[in-house]
Amino acid sequence: MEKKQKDPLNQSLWGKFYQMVITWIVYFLFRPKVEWVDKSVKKQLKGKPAVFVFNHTHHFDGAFTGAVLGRYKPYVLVNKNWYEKKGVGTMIGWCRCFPIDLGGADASWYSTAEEIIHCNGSLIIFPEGGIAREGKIEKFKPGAALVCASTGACVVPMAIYGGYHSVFGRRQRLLVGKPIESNCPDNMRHSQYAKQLMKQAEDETKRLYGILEQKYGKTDTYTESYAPAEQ
Amino acid sequence: MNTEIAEKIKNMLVENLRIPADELEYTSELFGDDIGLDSIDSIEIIAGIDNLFGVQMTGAARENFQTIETLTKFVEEHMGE
Repeated sequence: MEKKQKDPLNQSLWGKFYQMVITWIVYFLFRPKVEWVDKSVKKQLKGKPAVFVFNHTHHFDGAFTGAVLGRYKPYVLVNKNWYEKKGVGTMIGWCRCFPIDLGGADASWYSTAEEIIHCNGSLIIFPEGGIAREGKIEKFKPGAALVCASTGACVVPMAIYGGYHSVFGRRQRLLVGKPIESNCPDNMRHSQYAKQLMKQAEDETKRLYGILEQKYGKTDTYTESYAPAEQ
Repeated sequence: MNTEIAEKIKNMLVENLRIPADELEYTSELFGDDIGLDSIDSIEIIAGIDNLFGVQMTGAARENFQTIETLTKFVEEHMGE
């Protein structure tokens, strides 16, 4: 029997129910707290095409960010290795996710991402390309901003903070930064502009993480500290 | 080489990748010293070829991306698959 192809852009009814259950679990287990550098951004982003970028701290980040930003119905870009795994991959496929092959020259994610943005949708991307294993926030890969450079969608940097302590532990937090508008000059290549955008987003994400670190204390996530130096 | 396909690819490169048309020949090295594209640009090339001809270049060998000529040859070989 032919294996049914997953269609990332058409979430089934079962998928919607499953995603709702995941959201409940996330809220119950991790009691997320979303903070905003500018609260007006919360409403501004509704119905506006945007690419949300984050530091990648844990395998739960995709489920966590998808849940807390659920009002924007974002699509999460997931490593193809996970997307095609037996069992877990099936469950990931039920949610609003689509795959990227980080090992090869894969552009299929780009076409899907463009389609989502053209429908005023939003994306969740972890531009480090994997969980931070070196004790610091890794360099953001510019490919994540290519779709912003070509479509004009804004980049919204965000910082994930906390160690996913369940129920009675420290709350899992997210600090949402101000959108970085994308306006690629006519004489500039999209790839060059994407690099600029992503560098800005990376610096801002580190700054946002530093704010949370200063407010709530250093965690085990990173050995490097991003809190602003005390004056 | 099918010049109609080559010309469509050239126009796509000029429009999507913003390469000046007067600098772009069918044999210009796209990723070398001539034009200087990088791996991020290859994503747009792959997407552009797919949109124009319905030909999938994801995972194709690097040498197929070198010039408009090699891209054209790839499209000719894989069109209608």
